[in-house]
Amino acid sequence: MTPLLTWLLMVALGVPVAIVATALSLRRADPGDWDSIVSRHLPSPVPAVGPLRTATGLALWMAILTAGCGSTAGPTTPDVTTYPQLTADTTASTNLKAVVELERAAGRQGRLVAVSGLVNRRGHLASSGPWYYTFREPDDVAGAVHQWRVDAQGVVTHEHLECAASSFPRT
Amino acid sequence: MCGLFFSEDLTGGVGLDSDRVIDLALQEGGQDFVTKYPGDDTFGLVYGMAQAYVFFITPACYRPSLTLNRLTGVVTDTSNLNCSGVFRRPCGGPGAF
Repeated sequence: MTPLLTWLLMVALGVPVAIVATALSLRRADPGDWDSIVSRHLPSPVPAVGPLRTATGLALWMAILTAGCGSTAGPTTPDVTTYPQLTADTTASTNLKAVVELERAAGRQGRLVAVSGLVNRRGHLASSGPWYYTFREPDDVAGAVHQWRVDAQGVVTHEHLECAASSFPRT
Repeated sequence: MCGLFFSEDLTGGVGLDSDRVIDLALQEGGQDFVTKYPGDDTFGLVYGMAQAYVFFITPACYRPSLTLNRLTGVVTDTSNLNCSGVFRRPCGGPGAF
């Protein structure tokens, strides 16, 4: 099969799949998910995100079709002021319920598949590393997860990893 | 530990809290290990599936770990509590620390 024929075949099959998948994801999406959490913690809500969501959905699907898991764009971290400050200097369980509530408030029903962190002998966070609360949603592409991070000061951040890393480059 | 296979839902709780897990890990062979291979007295702790994985952070060893049942505290695996290679931490995803 020539490269040109391969390319034409990918375009012929990929574009309709991307359009249908994007339409389905937009139908399922709750337009109030991020607005609801933002409105509870910020003085003024973020503007409507319809066009942004459309562009993001399309970009995601195109990225999946063209690049595959493991080579998509890096994660983004929202402004930490979006979220409440939780209890500081904690064990794994201290803020677990609050984090699950944040996940649900964002309109997601994901499973909490892992809780992890770097701790000292007391089982409390060591140094500046956070607790990672990792959620996976049924509709996510393989390897995609949501992570809530709560640091030793109780500061919360959230990250959507389109593809979780499977290697160990950190030392 | 990059728990891409993790699927069990922990939203109801992790079971034994991290203070208890580290205490048990040290009692069940971990203290002997850190005495023999000193590190900075920190531990990577990962709850996933039915287990709590305790990684002993010591520069000279590649991810030495001890595994406990996260609900009962019973040690289920000590086969990785040995020293070889150079320690490397997972970079992201489930089980990052």
